[in-house]
Amino acid sequence: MILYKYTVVMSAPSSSSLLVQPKALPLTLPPHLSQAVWSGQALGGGQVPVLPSGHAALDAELPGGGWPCRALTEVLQVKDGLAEWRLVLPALARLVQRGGHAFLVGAPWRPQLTALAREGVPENRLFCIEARSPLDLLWATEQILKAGCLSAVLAWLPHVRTEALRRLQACAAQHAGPVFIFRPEKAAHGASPAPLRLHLSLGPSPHPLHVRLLKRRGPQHDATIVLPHWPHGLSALLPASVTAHAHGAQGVHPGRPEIVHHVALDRAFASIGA
Amino acid sequence: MWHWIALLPPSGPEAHGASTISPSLQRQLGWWALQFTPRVAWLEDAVVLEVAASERLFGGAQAVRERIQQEARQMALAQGAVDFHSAHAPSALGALALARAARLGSPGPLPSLPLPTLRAVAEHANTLAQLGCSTLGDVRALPRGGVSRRFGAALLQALDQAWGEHPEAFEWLTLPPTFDVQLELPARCDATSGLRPAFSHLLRALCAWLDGHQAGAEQLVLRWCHEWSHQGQARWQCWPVRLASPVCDFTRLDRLVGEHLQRVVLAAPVTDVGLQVQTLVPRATDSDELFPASPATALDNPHVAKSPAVQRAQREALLALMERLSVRLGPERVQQARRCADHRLSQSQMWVPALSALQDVSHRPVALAEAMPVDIPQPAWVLPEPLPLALDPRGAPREQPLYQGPLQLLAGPHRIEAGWWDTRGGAPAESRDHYLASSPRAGLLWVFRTRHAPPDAANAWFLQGFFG
Repeated sequence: MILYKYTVVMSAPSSSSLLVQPKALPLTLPPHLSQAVWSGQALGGGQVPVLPSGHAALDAELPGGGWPCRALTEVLQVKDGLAEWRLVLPALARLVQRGGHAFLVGAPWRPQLTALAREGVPENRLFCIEARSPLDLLWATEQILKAGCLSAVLAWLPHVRTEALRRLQACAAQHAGPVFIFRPEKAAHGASPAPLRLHLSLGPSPHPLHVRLLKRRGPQHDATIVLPHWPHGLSALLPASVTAHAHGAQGVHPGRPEIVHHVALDRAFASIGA
Repeated sequence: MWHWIALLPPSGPEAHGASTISPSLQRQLGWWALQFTPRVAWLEDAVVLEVAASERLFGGAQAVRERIQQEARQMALAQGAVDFHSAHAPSALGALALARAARLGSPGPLPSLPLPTLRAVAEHANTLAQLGCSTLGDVRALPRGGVSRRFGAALLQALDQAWGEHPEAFEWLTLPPTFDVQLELPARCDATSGLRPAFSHLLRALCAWLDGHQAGAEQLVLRWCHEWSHQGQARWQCWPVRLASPVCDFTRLDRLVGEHLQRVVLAAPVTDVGLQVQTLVPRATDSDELFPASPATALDNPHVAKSPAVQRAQREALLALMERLSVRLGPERVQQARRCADHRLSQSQMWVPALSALQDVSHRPVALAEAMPVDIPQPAWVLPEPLPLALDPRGAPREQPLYQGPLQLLAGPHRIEAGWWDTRGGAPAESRDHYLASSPRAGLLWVFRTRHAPPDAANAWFLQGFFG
């Protein structure tokens, strides 16, 4: 039997005159309850441990200041494999430092280990799990969540149903680490038991990460968070003007960079013809 | 001085007692109790053990007593024996009498116990009752000479032993060196799901035996006997179960055996099952810590993550998980990679089954410097086979590769010319110019152009990976 834990979100009324005074709330509740209830205006948190995501702009908007542990995090993308690593690698590196492992369940392709090792995730901490059927993928994810290992789970579950997600969310309560479920963009219309859902897409070249928070424990967040984050080796290769522009305009939509002239590029084409 | 503990399982035929070969709860309790002290004996229908020498190791007389009694009760409950009693006393017979009195529902001090609590007294219960004796204390108060003449010396000796005034002698229990037990099924069984309860029962006995040895098992052999011989095969069939690490945990073994049984196809109905363990591996024990920590707190506290107990617990949990996944999905689907020092992306990593990789503790990760020069960017995702890219004819005379829109080359070329020395068949020589490209919809890509391809060749450009 699975026990589901429902959390009541107290949403703030739209009119400012009707706002519940947030200060009055904790006084009337015993301490263990006042942590679980938060005002709709403020970010929730304090209930579940978090793992800092490594992106300062994102941490500022996430409840508790990082990826939630013991709960699902749903990441919706246009297509699988678009930008997962850049989003989660800083957090994974932190987890690996603490002795954790990373499990890839149903990954769209094979990861390139040298790239991950440069970011702080060595190959002996990474496991790749495939399965013949979506049902086996779910089973494997559930087993990892129940195993009691300190680990991060990255599961690509394109066809998962809400009931199965709810079951995973219940299992995730035993799991000391973040759980990322990657799903297609169209899943945004359906309900989900995951307490944190975000939409991940790429900006124009050189493709900073664009993150929209679809659901979180806290007020609705409509703006797009821009994360100009590239792997170490890559940012040096990108045209300096482009990355500087993106870094300078953190939090706003960067304009389309223009690469009019690139020395290495031109030389390359000269050599192709030769 | 209260060093003797008696564990009294329910009397009479047990639920699984159909077979005399199967280890009964009493035998299992005896094996299990050997982990606390070597002085364990089967006395009548109970197990008695003396823990004087072990009290300090297990944290004091009261702690060891409570632990033994509680864990034994859980063991009995797990096998459906609700009517389990235990007691402690300065002598083995005294402890047994107290446990029996608890079963009869009349607990109290030794002199006030009813007559059936000691077997030597119970034999003469009728005569003694007619003499006006209703408790052990009454019998003991009778004149010794008369009692000895009328009932024999055995009764007086048993009473003296129960009171601790006469030494007791036992044949101490020893463990069989190998585990090989069989169990007859209550009814013949056509599906493997029906074998599961019988194997669970055997596994409990195995865990008791392993606890007594303070060891773990690395390989089990599941056996079952078909009702008739099928196509000339032997009636007894074996199914070896290899374990990633020495195991003595019932839950883990039971779950794993369940996964194995799902893969078994029975050729004929089964009448008997058996379980064998030949070799034992000593169990690693945790040293005591000043501040014991749980793996869950390792996330917040890096010092916890480094403690050996937490690391070992993590490793055990990881091995158990990998074992379970590998059995159901197949070892080739649960993988870990090894990096090789090679510039060709296709050759720079090799995927191996995770279980064997985990067991091979000698492997050390390749240092980054020797694996790949730092200045070459590495895509995070790599395609199993490079994907040929179409060229945009409007881009002429420059070659304009396409992947979800025209590609914009941001950096390159990085020339990789390697593998010409490799004479093995599977790894062809490569001569490629790699570029970092940007696709309007697919993000940053790692593409290459075959170096010696003529200009405007159809198959010159390939996509190799994504910087996801």
